[in-house]
Amino acid sequence: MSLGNREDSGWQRSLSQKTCLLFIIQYHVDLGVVWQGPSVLFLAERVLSFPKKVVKNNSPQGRKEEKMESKNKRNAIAVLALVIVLGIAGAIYMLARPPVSAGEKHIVVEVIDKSGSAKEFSYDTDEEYLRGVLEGAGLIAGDASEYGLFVKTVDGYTVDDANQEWWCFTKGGEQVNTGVDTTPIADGDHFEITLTVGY
Amino acid sequence: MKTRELTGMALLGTVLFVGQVALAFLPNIEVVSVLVLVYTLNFGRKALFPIYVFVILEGIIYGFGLWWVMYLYVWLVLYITARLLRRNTSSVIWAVVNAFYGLSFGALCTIPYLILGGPGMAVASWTSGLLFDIFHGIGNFVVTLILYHPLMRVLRCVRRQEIFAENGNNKTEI
Repeated sequence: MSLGNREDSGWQRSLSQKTCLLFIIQYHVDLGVVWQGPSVLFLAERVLSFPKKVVKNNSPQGRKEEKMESKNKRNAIAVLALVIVLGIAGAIYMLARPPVSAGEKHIVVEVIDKSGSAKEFSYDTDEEYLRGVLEGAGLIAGDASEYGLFVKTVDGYTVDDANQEWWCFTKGGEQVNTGVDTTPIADGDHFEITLTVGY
Repeated sequence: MKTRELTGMALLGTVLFVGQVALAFLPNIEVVSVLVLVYTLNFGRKALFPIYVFVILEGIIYGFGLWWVMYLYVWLVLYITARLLRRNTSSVIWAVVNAFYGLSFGALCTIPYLILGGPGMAVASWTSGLLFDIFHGIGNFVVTLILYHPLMRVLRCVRRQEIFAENGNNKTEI
């Protein structure tokens, strides 16, 4: 057995192969079985004769695999970018949303109908958002939509879409930029729900 | 445009409208975006016809309010994006594109508020709806990932039916 002449086979002795060889030798020395020299040399030859693949696959199959790999990489990068942007959007929302307050709150809701007459309703609640209070009290009802509850009925009166009627929510006379699902309530808040005609 | 082609475009627009109404009860799940996408990829410039049939139908049924003005340009953004990226055939990439579109939907809809009330009103309007935009984006991603290839197969069959052929041949200019 010989380690042979490898010059004509184009193989390369990599760092991992040298490490493997040293490990094999050290293992046998530690075991006190140095006399098993021939077997050590056999193992060394198998390790060293294993060629390191450095040849690029130029076959159609190889090119197809490379194309698939680059497509997968591109898809992974796109999905990763999306996840990052979603995370950033979520963070912006958490920072920008109005703060909610826990604990019992007293709020007043004023319902103003078409004739202009107003009715006041007072609530003591632990709810965080307006919908929970009003729906729980049976004051409002409506259709669920992708943007939350679309309020159509307040205090028993359902709007007539044909007449372009709708319920306008304000807080302390100021415009509310959120729907009932995401309008937070705090102790002492005063909401107005006004029947409005015309879009 | 031939009558058969005109009718086909009207029908595709109706499919958009029916898709929107049918899934209106599901929050943040809509098929309009993926349909607009596949219409654009299959019919090119002619996809504008079903898109605006849909916009007009929405206005007739729900009223011509400020939101309708937004609809006039917001679907055009998706159409232009699809036209620019039309060489892509990966459903994952299209799902990501549609997800970004869903995420930016709220921002696109603040343009009238920017004109009417200034940057403050636009930013308030955008941030208040951001949570819905996030879910809209996620919903668009999932729906497009599932429906992209099946819809493309169906529309390729539709194109082969010579309904949208010009001068009686099977070629549609994309």
